[in-house]
Parts: sequence; structure tokens; C-alpha cells
Amino acid sequence: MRVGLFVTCLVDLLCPEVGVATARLLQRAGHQVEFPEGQTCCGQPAFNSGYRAEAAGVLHQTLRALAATDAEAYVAPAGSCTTMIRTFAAELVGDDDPDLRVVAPRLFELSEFLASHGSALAGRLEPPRRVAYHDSCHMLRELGLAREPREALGRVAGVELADWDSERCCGFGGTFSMRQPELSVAMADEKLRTLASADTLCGADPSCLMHMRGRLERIGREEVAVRHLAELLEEATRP
Amino acid sequence: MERQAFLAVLERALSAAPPLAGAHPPPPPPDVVPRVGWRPDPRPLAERFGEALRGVGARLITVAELPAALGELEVERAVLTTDRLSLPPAVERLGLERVREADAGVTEAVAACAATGTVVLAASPGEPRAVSLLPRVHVVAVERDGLVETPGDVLRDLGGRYAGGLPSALTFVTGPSRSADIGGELVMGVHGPLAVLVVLL
Amino acid sequence: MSAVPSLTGTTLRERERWALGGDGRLQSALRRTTDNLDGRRRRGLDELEDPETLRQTARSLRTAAVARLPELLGRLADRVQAAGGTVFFAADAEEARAHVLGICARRGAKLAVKSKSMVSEEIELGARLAEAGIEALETDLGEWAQQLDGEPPAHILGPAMHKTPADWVRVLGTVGYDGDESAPAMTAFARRTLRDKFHAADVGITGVNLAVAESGTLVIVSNEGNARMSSTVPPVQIALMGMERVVADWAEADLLLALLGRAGAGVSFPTYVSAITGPRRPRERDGPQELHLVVLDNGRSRILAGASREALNCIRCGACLNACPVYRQIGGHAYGSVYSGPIGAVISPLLLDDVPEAAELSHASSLCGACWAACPVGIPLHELLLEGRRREAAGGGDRAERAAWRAWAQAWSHPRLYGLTGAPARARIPERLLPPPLREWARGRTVPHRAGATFRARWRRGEVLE
Ligand code: SF4
Repeated sequence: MRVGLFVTCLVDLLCPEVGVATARLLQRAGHQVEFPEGQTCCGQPAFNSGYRAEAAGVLHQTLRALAATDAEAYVAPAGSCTTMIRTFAAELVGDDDPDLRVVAPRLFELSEFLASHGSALAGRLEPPRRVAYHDSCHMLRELGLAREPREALGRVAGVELADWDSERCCGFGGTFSMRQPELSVAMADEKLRTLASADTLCGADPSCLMHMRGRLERIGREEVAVRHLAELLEEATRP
Repeated sequence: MERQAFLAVLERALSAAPPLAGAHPPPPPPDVVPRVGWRPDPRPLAERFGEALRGVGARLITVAELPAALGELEVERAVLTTDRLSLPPAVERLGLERVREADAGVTEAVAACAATGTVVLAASPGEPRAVSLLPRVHVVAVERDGLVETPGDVLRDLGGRYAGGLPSALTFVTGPSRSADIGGELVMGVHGPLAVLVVLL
Repeated sequence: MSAVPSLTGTTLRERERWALGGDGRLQSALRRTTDNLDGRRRRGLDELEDPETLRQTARSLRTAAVARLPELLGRLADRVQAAGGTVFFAADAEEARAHVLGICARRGAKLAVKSKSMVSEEIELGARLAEAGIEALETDLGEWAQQLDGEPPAHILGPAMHKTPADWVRVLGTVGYDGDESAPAMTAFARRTLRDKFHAADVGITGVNLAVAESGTLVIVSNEGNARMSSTVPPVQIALMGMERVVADWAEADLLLALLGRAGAGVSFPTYVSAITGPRRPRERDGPQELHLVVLDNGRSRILAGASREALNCIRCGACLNACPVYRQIGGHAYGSVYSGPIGAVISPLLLDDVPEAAELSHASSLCGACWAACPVGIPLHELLLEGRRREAAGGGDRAERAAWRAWAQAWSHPRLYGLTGAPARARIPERLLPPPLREWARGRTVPHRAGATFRARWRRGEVLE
């Protein structure tokens, strides 16, 4: 399948390795990967802050760029940005926006896409890991994706899923994390306290991971590896 | 404010209201409000009722067990609004005007709900509200015929049951009065009874 | 902890710092209570065959009822009056207070017993009665403790949930309790003390959980029994009701009560559900001789006129508070408003439109949606919080913030400018030189920086695919 990668601004600018892992995974699953270069951001930071016109401008640019490649499917390594386009974008650009009508129905979060178009991907992680999977809020409650990422991890030998407070918000919340840093950090601490038995923290939203990694590093718990789902899967399926 | 003016403000607000915010609009309302569906339970109603009562800290007893139960709860004086139950000789019967001094109030329910352990009390000249409320023990008689499955069976039928208008007070009682306000610890008997004994007739 | 901060003159962040800056006892009490209630909610819903469908049905029914409020309120008023009660429509808090005061004055009242009513808190009725020389005594245990302690309630269901048993001993000590930290002993003390007050009271003041238009009935829920006491013993009952609490008929009331008990306290049915239709009838021995219903607007019509009117579907169960990861950290007082938690963050800015500090309450959320998932009537609280932020920004917002978003939107609508502004993320900047938002980030977290080139650059160089 011809897959357009919506890499998201955060991955592009701060953690490109997640984008690389996503692209390679899709390639290994037999897809032809394209990167629509005009994409920037889904507009979510402004949308969540109440600045809708500003959000709409940026969103338009990204939708236009994605739609222009007319891929058979679009995949994003971020549940939150996927939700922005699938669920909330219509409020900004109208549900009759031609670009939105091309992109929204074909856009999938990575694990969601792999569940139907990459389920043959299996691999092994050496040494084995105890992985705590983080349910990011949009992905869990808006997209209803809890089983898919766990099943993707379940196909990897050497991964044992750890029990923890997976569903509680980590406290990132976009600009919330900078507007109310004390609260944001207290929320992270509460969640991270339950991480005891895991050596790896894994999630499918780079923003939450960046927040939790930053906190773990600041409190001297660097021993916990923080990895995007795409990175773990990519490592496990290396030829 | 005058009623008309108050309601006119609301009319105006509604007529100018924009669409609801959000990407998840509510579905249209059903023509008929569905019943609250409980998980099916094949056991007889009386058995479920007893279990539900235990679950809320009340007890289902027989007429024969009443004297012992009152004795255990150190009931010495009681008021009574029903002739379906009688007090054991050891318990002094007070007139209704002395309800504040009573250890127990004995009343009759108009209905009861098996799934929740609820008894339904209707106020009337013969059934003052205080008898089931002020004494620390409430004994309530329920006709077997009055036992239904859920509160909905009573609530949804109130119009039929009281075609001439509802009683001034209908009270659905599910177990003894309780609070968990102090340190999260559940304590029975705050303002209402601390023990509820139900006798199925 | 120092005194509860007031909304006026403080920022949300300051109040959050206040809540987070204690010794952690607040947070452990919050964890204990909210985990307990949230767990009970889940188990309670489990008894039902199809709770999700019920929830959606409740949502559609509430939405429909709110859309026909004038009609339902008119019918309710007719039926309450036909049953012998009076109905007063109060446009604002002052009208409501004046009306209540008028009734008390006519009866020569000295003592009013109150059972839990959020509306009475909202209109600050207690203070006004006190000014008029009328003692207004809270009778819900938690509310009573808060009143004795001079603090507002901190949670819809557990007003004093943050108090430890030692706090309780201290507070009850002020009215003569000399026992230990045993909850049963303190409860027995409260029962004795408040019982005398009930008998001495001239007026009972209650809230209204639901009003059934069909029969003119006020439905009042309590677990302790104080609402029953207030509607049985005093000669006058005044019931305060937010105008949105009306439902068409008993079938609707049944559905909402089944959800209310479960969502709130996790019980299949509340301990006491009192359905009051008019005052006592001829020859009845007790119950109030007079029943007065006060229907309050006080800003609700503003909510009704806007896109957030689904907030009026709320049945005040408290489930969204218990599910909220923000409430769990900061508790009710940090919101600075009577209504706390996600629902409070939605409605307070609308109800308090004359208090500028209230506007930013819509930021007291990470928008995680746990409130929406927990709400028994399916209110999309996270989306209403977004709507609140939209309104705040549209109403002017913060000038610097607006300018920043404009600049951002300009740049990120063009791939080239986006590339230019994003590229520096590679640099490791000393924390003291960071721009303001990142400096805030760096307070508790290391600042992320990119290793190597952007994804875009790597793609162009052909380094991405295998
Ligand atoms: S918004 Fe929903 S969850 Fe929150 S108090 Fe109201 S009804 Fe309960």
C-alpha cells in the first residue's frame, strides 16, 4: 500500500528517530512509504489553547500537503495528532473541507494501522524487557485504541508487559505542561511512582514520552528506558 | 422575578442558542425511556431481597424472629403505625405523639425492591414521616405481593399507583442511615435509624 | 496548610501551588477518597446490563429536557402549586436570598437547619441569614465540619474529605466533643447535637436533586438522612433548586436516579430518596406546613444561550471529580469556586462572568477526557473546557499570548518558515537562557533536544528508508 507518513512536528523537530523507526517499520510491513514534505503541524497546540483561527491556518497547511500526495493511507506515530485530524479538525475547517475529506478517513495511528496492515511483523528483543505501556489520553478515550498497541508488543518475543497505572493522564496536556508546571509534574510523579517493576516505558505519543522522560531524568531515574512503540518494534524487527 | 418574565428569558436564550460545542453530538432521545436493565438474576425475589438487604446493612427477618431482634438491639419502647406486626410483651408501646422517646418505630411499606433492598414508605395521616426516621431502629413490614424487582418498577408506575396525586412524601429507604464523611470510615446511624429490620409478610 | 485562597486576586497557578505545597496529607486524602468512589462507581455500573447505552440515553434525555426548560418549569410550577406549595423564580442570587429571608422573617425564624445544597453555597445563603440574625446550621456531617472550621466544602459528595480524624476531633471540640478519634463516637456525638437542633429549627432548607414536572414532585437524595429530617421536623421547608434540575416524568427520574447513585457513591440506589409533593396534607402529623420551592437562574440562562449548554445536563454526582487527575492533585479548594473539578471548571467561568479570575478555570485540566468517560450523563466535559478556552481567547485573552500564537501560526503555515523556527531545537541551551515557556518546562523536567538532523532533512538525504 502507498502510505503517506504524517510524522508530526514534534517527531520532526525533536525526536526524528521515532519517524525513522516508523518509516522503516511500514516498509518492513511491505508498504511503499512517502513523506509529504509540506506538512508542518496539526494545529493542536493552538486549538487546545483556545486559538482556533491560528490552529486552523496551520492545520490547513498540513492537510493540503498530505492530501496532495493522495496516498492510500496515512499513518502517524502519535495518537493525539491522529485524533486532532480525525475528530476535531472538522470544527476548524468544516467537515466539507476537500483536503480533510481526503485525509481524515485514511489516517491511522501507527498501531491501529499495523493491526490490519502489518500484523505479520514479529520479532524479538534481546535482552528481554519488562515494558510498561502508557495509554495516552486521546488515543485511549477518543480513538479507543488500547488493544492494538499491546497486541503489537505482544508479537515481539522478549517483551513482558508490566502492570502499572497505565490509563491515568501523565500530566503533559500540551501547553498545560508549561502553563502549570508544578501541577503537570505532580501528575507525572503520581503516575511514574507506579512504574516500579518495569525497565522500559513505552507509548505511542511522543509528547507524553518527552514529558515523562524529562521527569525521569530530572529525578535521577535514567535507568528506565523511555521508548516510542515504533522504536521498540523497529528494533525487534531489524532484518 | 415574575414567572412569565423568568421563563421568557429562557425562551430567548434557547431561540438564539448556537449548535452544541464538540465533535460528539448527543443522539436524539428515544420515544420511550428504556427500563434500567439489571443483569438477569433467576433467583426468587425474596432471596434476592434478603441478600440486597444484607448488602446495605439491613436485615430480613421473620415475624417469629422479631422479639429476639428487638431484644438484641435493646429496644424498650416503640411506636407502631401498622397492625400487621405486634410488639413483644417486653417492649412498651408509646403513643405516636411520643415518637421522639421511642427506641424503635414500626411501620408498613407500600412496596419493596428486591434488587436493591429498598422499602418504599408513603406518608399519610396514619403513617407519619417521623416514625421511620427518628427512632434508632426501624422495623418495616412488607407484603410479599408488594415486592417488585427494581426501584424502576415502582417509580415508573407512580402515576398509575397514585392516579389522584402522589402522597405528600414518598420515601425510598435502602438500609440504615450512613456516612463516610469522617476519615472515609462507613458509620451507620447518622440522622436516621442505625438499624433497619424488614419483615416480609 | 494556610487558609483556603480566594478566587479573586489569585491566579490558578498560585492556587495550585498552594494546594501542592502542603505536607502531602491533602493528596493522600484525595487519593483515598477519589479511588474509593471511582472504584465503587465502576462496580456499581457493572450490575447493569448495558451501562453505556443507558449513559447515552440519559445524555439524550437530559439534552432534550434542557431544550424544553420553559415548558417543563412551567408545568412543574403548576403542579407544585396545585399540591399546595409555593414557587418562586429567582433571576439571581440576591433575589433568591431576599425571598428566603422574607419567608424566615414572616415566620419569625431564629434557626434554620440546612441539608446539603450546592445552590445554597452558590448564593452564599448562610452568610446572609447570619447577618439577619438567623442561625443557618449545616447538618450534613461533612458540611457541618466545614462550617465549624470556616471553610467552604471541598467536594460535592465529601465536603470534608480532606480532613483527617485528628482534624475532626479538633473541629468537633469547638462544640463540646471531648472523645477520641473514633468515627462512630464522633458520629454519635453529631447525631445527638444536631438532633436537638432539628427539633428546635423553625425552617428546614434543602436542595433538590431532581424535580419531576409530571407530578410536581421534588426528589431529594441523601445518605445520612438530614434531608429527610429537614423535610419532616421543621414547620417550614424551603427547597432550593437550580433551574436545570427538572425532568419530564418518572421514567426519566428512574434512569437518572439509577445513574446518580452509582456514579456518585457507587451504590445501586441512594440510601434515602425522598419524593416530596407539596406540604403536609390535612390530618397528617408531620412534614412541613409550608413548602416553598425556589428556582434559580443566576447565570444558568447564559449557559443555556451558549454552545456549552450541555453543562446544564449535570446531575451533580461528583464522578468527574473522582476521575480527574487534576482534582486528585489539587482538591476542590484550589478551584476557588463552589463548583470544583471538571464540571466546576466548565460552569464557573460562565456563572461568574463578573469575576475575571474565573475565566482561566478552563485551564484546570489536561484535557485527558477521564471526566467525560466517567460522567453518567455523558457530558463531553473535555470539549466544553476547550470551548471555555476558545471563549476566553475570543474575549481578548492575554495580549502577549495572542501575539505569540499569531506569530506561530504565520510561521507554521509555511513549510520554509516552519523549518527555520524548528531547526534550533537541536541546540543545548543553558536553562537560564531558555525562553519563558521552556524555562517553566525546565522547572521539573530536562529540556528535550534533538539528536542530529530533523526528520525532514534526513528524508531529503535519503537516510530514512532501508
Ligand atoms: S458533569 Fe457529569 S460526572 Fe460531573 S458531576 Fe455532573 S453529572 Fe456528575
